[in-house]
Amino acid sequence: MDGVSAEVTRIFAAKEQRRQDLARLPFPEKVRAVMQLQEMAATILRARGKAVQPWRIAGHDQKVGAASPP
Amino acid sequence: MGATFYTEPLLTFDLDVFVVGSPNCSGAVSAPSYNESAVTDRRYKDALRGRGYLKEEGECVLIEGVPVQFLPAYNPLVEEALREAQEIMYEDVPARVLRSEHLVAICLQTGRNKDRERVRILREQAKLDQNFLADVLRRHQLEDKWKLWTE
Repeated sequence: MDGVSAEVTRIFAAKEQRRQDLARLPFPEKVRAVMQLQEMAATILRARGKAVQPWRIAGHDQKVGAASPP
Repeated sequence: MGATFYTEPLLTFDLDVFVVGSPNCSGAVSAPSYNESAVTDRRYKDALRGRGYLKEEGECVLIEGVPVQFLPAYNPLVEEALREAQEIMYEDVPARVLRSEHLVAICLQTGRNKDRERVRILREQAKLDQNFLADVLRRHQLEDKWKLWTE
């Protein structure tokens, strides 16, 4: 990339690798990640006056990487 | 949510389920939403009410904390995508997800900016069977749109 240092190039490459790694997560892990995204986005959207409701799935810990419910 | 099966997690607040036939038929999770209230089938909401799911949020029914919208298969592409959806297990529960190639085709057909972004991400992260995709695009007259969005 023009005008971008080697360090920044490395950071961008790591970010891209992170996205690819997320794409390979098991689907239930991705659902938990979506729920985390909803919580993060809801705060911003509510501040803008938009009513949104993050999912409330019984037994789902919203931390990605947490053990699946029985 | 369908796209998220193949890609990194993508933000959404509702779950679209395509359905065929009667409320007893199974459906499949889709990626793009189809914003036409006319397609919302009252029968599904009645069937869900019978199961105790009484709360609605706009066009969606709240099921176990998730707003779900049921969309009848509205054209031949969606009907085909449902026929060829793959069955997966979601935490011991059988579920059906559209093939990634059909998700791309439905995004092309729906045509919003959001769908264009989904196509970009699916191309980057999903394993697309290029021959299968080319056939779907040809049969549903989506080749020109594909070229427009990808070249």
